[in-house]
Amino acid sequence: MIYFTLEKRLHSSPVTRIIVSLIAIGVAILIGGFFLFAVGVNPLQAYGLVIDQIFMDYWGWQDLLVKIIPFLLTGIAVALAAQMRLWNIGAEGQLYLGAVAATWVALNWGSALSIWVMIPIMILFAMLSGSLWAFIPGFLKAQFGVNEIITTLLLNYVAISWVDYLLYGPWRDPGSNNFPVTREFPESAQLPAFGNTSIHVGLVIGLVIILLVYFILEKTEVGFKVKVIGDNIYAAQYSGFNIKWITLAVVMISGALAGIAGMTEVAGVHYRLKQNFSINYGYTGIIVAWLARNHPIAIIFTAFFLAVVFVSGELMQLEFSLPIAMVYLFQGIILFSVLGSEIFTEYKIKVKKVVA
Amino acid sequence: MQTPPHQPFVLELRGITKAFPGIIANDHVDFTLKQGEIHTILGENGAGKSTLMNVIAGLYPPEQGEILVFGKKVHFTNPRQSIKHGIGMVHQHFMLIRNHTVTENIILGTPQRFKLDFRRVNEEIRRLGEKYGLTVDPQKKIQELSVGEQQRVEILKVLYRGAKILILDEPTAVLTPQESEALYQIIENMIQKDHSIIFISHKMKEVMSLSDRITVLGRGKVLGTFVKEKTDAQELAKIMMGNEEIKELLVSSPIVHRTQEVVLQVEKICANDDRGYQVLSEVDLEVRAGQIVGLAGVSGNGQAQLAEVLSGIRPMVSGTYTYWGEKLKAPTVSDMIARGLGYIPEDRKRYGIAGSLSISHNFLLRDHKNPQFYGQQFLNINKMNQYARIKMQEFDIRAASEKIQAGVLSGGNIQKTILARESSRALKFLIASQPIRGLDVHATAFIQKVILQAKSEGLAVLLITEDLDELFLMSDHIYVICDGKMVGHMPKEEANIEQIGLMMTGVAVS
Repeated sequence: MIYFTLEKRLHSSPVTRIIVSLIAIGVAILIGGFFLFAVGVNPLQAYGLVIDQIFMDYWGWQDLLVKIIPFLLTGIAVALAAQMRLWNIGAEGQLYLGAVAATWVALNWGSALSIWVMIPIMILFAMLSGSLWAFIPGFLKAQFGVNEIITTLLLNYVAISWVDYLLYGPWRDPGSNNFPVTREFPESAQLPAFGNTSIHVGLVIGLVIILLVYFILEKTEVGFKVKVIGDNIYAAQYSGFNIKWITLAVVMISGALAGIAGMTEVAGVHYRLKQNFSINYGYTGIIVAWLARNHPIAIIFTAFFLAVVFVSGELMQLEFSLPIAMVYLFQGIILFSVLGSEIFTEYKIKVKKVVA
Repeated sequence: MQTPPHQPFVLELRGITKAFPGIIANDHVDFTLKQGEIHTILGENGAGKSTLMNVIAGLYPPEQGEILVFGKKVHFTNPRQSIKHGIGMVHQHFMLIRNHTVTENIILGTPQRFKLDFRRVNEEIRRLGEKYGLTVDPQKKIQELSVGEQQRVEILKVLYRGAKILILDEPTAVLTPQESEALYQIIENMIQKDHSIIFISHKMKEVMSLSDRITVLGRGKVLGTFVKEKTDAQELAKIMMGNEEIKELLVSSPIVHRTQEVVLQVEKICANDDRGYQVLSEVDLEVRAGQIVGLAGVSGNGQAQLAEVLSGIRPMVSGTYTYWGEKLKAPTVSDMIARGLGYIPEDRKRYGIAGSLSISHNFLLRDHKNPQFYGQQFLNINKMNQYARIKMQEFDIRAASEKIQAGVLSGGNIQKTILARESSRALKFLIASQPIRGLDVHATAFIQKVILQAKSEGLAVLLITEDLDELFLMSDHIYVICDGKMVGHMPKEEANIEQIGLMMTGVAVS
């Protein structure tokens, strides 16, 4: 008899990982093609269109670079927590709450202050609000060991309901014909864009934050502690690290970063708070972080890749009137195939012959 | 060889060999079990007992050798097959689902009719229990049961599956003396009912009262099989501790007789384990500068918790802890590191390293304030790597590069890494817990040499070990711990190996 057995690799090199991930994405595109075919779209035509209208197109690139911004921020938020093996499924809710705080600042102080003061204050409030929202699961985790996956996930629904309440109630723009949107932000509360494009400053903010997180993780004592706690909590205990405090701090910082994503969306794209301004950006952050194996620099690339998926989805909506669900379907397929491919980065396949 | 028509052995192992990367856990082990016999396996931790039992239970297929069950050759590739052949293992750590009932736990994984008739099964289990004296209410949930009762459920589980050969892995380690007595009765009952038992234990008293035969394992090999009547506890202790082996690489340093400053003094320390049960009761200990105090004891008798208390990981419930003349109230790990305490933990892979970080990074554990790792203010990877390279050279740590994950290193190299890290600070007191367990001759000699050298330079050392060779080789003064209490202490010259062995197993008190 012949058996296939898996043998753990001693070293899984980054090159193997990247190659395996790329193959996995290729497989995902292939499987996605079948689904496109199933809904009556010629996959070759669809993929051709993506290349033609997005990658070969000025406006396409502009869309990509706008779309990447929330993914950079939610991706790094999730990845930072994941460095400590904490699952922040709540980036979506923290993003919503960040947007609420930024909106409050914009609507209340916007006309009085200059843009140089407004934008930093909005960011600050968004961070504060996102981190306070994350404090709840962070505290419960650090103090009582409550599973953060459940708490962060459930708080998302609460956060979204809050936004709905504000939009249907006190914050609704009287001139909006009853649409659940706020008034437009005053100009001093709008993130400036580059030149004539729609690419706003959020792109720089996202990239700077990613580099900062990378620097802290690699170059500082506290970053080292985070990595040890994530790898082996017993070794952290033996080394005398304050695990509770670091856990709480990391979860709150993760929430703050997701909060900034909310701010850049409302202040950089919509210029107001409105329903469904986030198309699952928080959840997509989980995929971005996963694909990047929580490596901050890799997040720049995976966030770009997810931006491609989203913008392509919008193109499909326009061209073939496919629903947004197609994007989620693609996300799912990609996640499945990349997670499935992990077995090849961690294990070698060995063929064994056994004489019975 | 022709097997006789009537089977003398219910289980026979011939030349079982099982290797793991870097270690031969079982080396041509022969073993037999007769019908209705209690055959004890004795040996230090790491002697290969658990591996052997797992081979019998079908968890590990052996690389070489044969297993015969009731005279028939068998090849187990999974535990289910060994159960089918009538072999049942009662694990030391219970494998029960806490919020399910006794019955649900017992029938889990057994073939049942589609419609489960719980009343019938409950009755079946109740009757089975009565037959062996394993009284336990089948309808109770596991979490409502005492530890002794949970163990009965584990035994019922294997009996329900029709086990004829039972493996009991240190069954009394978790039991109170009363519960142990009850278990001995149950074991007698099982023997009466034609079962055969492989018994694993460290406790010499029960080994000598229960067993028919005793096999001593050491470093994966059978050191001897004895009929109970023809041996005694002293002889077995001597063989188990490997006293008869020739000592290579003996590097004992001169004993310092001058009265030195007391570095560490604890009086009447009590502490609890993670579940809140008391594991240390009124422990006294004194360690002086330039002295190695050996703490002997079978694993799990409180020495791990004592080390944790001294190093600041575990809070003490009561007692006084005096360190360099200063009374400590509730020291933290960082406090103790700052006071020059080094700690080589017993479970070196679990506590000593962060396995998926690089070797370089692992040198920062417990030493992350060391300016040698920093540039102006921030960690400098080049400096970290350079430091690691120097230490790797100095401590003979063999690895392809300082950048590889520490978790892939062999046990010996991990231990050298930990030792290198702990001894590179300005140390005043070193706790070394089972520092050579599972290591090869060279790593052992190296680590012992480093510790002896540091001692001769004035370091105070607490050496926690259950290896009596190591104890006598290294220590100046010996303490013995059993069941969370210090059962005696004496200068090395006044100690003898049999006496210590008996004290460790709770037979004798000095």
